[in-house]
Amino acid sequence: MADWLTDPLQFEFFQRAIYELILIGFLCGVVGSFVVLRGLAFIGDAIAHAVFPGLVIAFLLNKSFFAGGLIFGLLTTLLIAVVARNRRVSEDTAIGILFAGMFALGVVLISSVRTYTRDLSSFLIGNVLAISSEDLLLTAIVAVIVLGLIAIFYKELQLVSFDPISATALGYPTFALDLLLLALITLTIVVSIQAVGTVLVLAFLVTPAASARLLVDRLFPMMLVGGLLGAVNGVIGLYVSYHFDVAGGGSVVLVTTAVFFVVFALAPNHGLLARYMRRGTEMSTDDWSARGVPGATA
Amino acid sequence: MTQAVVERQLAEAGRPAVEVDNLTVAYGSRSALSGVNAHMEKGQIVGVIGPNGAGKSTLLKAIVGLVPVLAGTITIHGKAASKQRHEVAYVPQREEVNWEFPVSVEDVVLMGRYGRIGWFRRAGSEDRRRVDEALEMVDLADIRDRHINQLSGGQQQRVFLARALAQDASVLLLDEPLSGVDATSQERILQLLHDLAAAGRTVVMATHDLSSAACNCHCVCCLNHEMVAMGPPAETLSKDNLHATYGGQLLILGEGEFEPALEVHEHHG
Repeated sequence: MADWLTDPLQFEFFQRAIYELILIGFLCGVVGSFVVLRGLAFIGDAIAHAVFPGLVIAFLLNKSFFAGGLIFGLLTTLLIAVVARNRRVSEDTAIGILFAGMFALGVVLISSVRTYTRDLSSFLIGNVLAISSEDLLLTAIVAVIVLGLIAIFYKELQLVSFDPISATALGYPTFALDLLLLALITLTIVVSIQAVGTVLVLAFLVTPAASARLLVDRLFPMMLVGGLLGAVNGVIGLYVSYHFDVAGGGSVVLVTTAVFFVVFALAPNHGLLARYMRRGTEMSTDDWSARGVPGATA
Repeated sequence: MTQAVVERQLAEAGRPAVEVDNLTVAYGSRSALSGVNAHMEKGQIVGVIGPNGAGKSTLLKAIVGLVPVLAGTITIHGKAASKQRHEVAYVPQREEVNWEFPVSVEDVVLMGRYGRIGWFRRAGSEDRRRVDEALEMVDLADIRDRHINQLSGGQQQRVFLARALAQDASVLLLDEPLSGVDATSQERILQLLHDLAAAGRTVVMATHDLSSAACNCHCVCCLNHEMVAMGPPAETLSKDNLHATYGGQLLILGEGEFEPALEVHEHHG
């Protein structure tokens, strides 16, 4: 058993992969709490795919992937906000248009290069074992910046997420705070993509936070539990991938998904089992009206 | 007492707490309020009544800066409402709140302090004390750690009332504070509103409960896109005024006394 754990640690690339997954697992779990609570999963997926042309351009010009991805991620976020301001284009429509359009741009760009099939798959699913020391340092710096900004603006982000009406009434710049949140999500996605790819990053962002929501009832504990679950899932998934010789990102996501379903079934208050055991005993009228069932409040 | 406080009190003296002057609000091309005038005095409970879609919520939202104002002015204690955000507390309709969000009773009440705490700072002991006080006043101190979804309708309403109290605002705007609330909680909430008014605060509540407005408000606004009438309930809730406000929606079951002879037929959607 000890060998099972220590064996892979003799490789430096494995150590770097572990640190990288702990960092992005924690970061995504924390930021993902806002994604889950605000219903931003679709926009998260869109940003993850829309950074693709940025990565390809960086690849073609031999420049930083992070910078290329970040520019296209922020550009897409802004474009979505602008397009969705037209009342006849709903926000999810705007997201859909830019999501696919940007991704197509990436596909066209990369198809202009001869060896595109291999590179395409490495963009899409990432390669956590190819993380360099510089990549790791960059991830750490971005994690500190994003977590620091969340700590500084915690009150405001909580208020604008829970009760945007009162935030506006109190004179808070809610549009700017929403943009800040989207920028933090974009930074998190871009810094994670190199290790886990554009397709799987959504699982890092959404699944641990969703598990945390089933376990705790307050925002700060939810962010903490989401972050810890993300980090632990990353480590377990990486060992699984090493010993079974399968893809790293995919293994981590499978572990993350499995953990979610275990929590979904067994969570103390909000799990399937707990709900089943409670059935019939707690269906009071208050329960109905508290849930805002139509008619119960009239 | 500092110079600033003295000046503020001089400026406030004699001015209504809330002055709405020729207010016009439209959603797109649909007019919600047109040319509404209202003076709401300090220390009063003001009821805003009218049929569904008459603009009751819109009036409250305009005062608190939530809807774009096409024309007209709103002042709070003689100053532009946009400069007095902290003086006005807004309690939304229960249906507008996300009750699944992971916050406890205490978390929500503390949010009332956020505007005063300001950016880049954390809640201090004064803020904690105010939260404790507010929780005591609405009788929720025992369940301060509960998640907001585990509360009854009346308790949920009181959480937001406590948040308004913690904000220490001089004007409280409440949108349908009595709807979906059991009779005991209704009594409690009304008693609290009377105490607040007696302590010099101005309470404005939109309600579709005419008899409760008649019994509890010092002043009622009969609203139907325009201000039909405004004044003490005994004079204002006349048959003619009510007919002009509600049109065919109102059934007058008895003559003379307005309470409890009135019943409003509304369609909840």
